[in-house]
Amino acid sequence: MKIRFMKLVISSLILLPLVLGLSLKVNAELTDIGSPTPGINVKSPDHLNDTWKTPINNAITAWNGTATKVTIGYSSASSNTITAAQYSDTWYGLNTQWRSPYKYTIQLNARTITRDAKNFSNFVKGTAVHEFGHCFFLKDNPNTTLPSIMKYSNDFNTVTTPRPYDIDDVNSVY
Amino acid sequence: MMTSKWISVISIFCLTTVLLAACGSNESKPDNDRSAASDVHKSTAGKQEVLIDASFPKYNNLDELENRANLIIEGRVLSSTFKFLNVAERPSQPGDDQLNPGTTPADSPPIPYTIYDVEVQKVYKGAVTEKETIQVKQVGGENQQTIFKVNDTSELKEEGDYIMFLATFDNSPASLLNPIQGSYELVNNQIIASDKNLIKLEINDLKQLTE
Ligand SMILES: [Zn+2]
Repeated sequence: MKIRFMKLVISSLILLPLVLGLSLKVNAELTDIGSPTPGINVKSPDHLNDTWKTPINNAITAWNGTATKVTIGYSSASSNTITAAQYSDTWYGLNTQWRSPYKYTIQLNARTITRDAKNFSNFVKGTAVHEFGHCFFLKDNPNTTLPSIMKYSNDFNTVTTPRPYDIDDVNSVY
Repeated sequence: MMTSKWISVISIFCLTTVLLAACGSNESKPDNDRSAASDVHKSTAGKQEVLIDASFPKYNNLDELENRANLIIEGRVLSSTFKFLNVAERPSQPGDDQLNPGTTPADSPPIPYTIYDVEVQKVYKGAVTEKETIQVKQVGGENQQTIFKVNDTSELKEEGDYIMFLATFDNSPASLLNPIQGSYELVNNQIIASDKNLIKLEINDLKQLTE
């Protein structure tokens, strides 16, 4: 009798961290389209002026500096694009993703960003980090109290980098 | 005797925790499972699925919504059509590098939109008249080949009545301020906010705008 209990205790103690670890991983709220590989490319936005190009660069550097497998590189042959213009609409940014072959297009809205930016380069960087996050399956407005670059309530004047919650989500994919 | 009781209590606790954790992990997963299942469903219709994620400003209260909107109406959705629109404007105010990133409309890929014909029932703010039909656009929709899916959006239903907080544009249909807070459905004179919209709205709030 005692031995059976001991076996139960020991197996529970071994299983417990495993199961808890698993359940933490699947807490990620993910979209169903994103890059199949952690390394993505984008055509360098050479048509943009430096006021836009520099913060977009900073957004790419921010992702490349995370403790994840994801990388974003410039490639002239890439069919993935990032651009900006004054769009007659209310969004800050748009990321359109095709499944197969995988491809994405990011559009940033100079109209709304210029209107709401107190720190312009932070705002562009934060919006671009958010939009690239969608390429890695991150979902808008994750249901968490933790900070996330994917929340609509973010102020991109100050929030400009992937947060630990986002990094955990990305690491649950790749 | 005491020890064996203690051991059984611990075992039951551990087992329960393990079982609960297992159930929990099953429960936190359905978001992916459900979307995967709906993919299968959609692919049987033979359409390719494209995902559009749009990020919008969020509004903290009704004042912010009312101030930002330049058109606030009660309207009925008559019909909808799907169209690719290039809503990029020609550069304005040259010399302003923030407003003019250096692109021309030709540099911007057209965006898939659903365009709604909306008959104005009441005007709370803005330059339209009752019974006039205006157009409202929303990112996403579907054509013969493709479903352009937008997460976290509340689609406007045909023949539905809505209070709409809109931004208008010179060269393109009006847009909701955002897909969650920009519209309230009207059912039997009750104003219904979408699930994630925490800003309460009552008809009296709107009437004050016209006084
Ligand atoms: Zn987004």
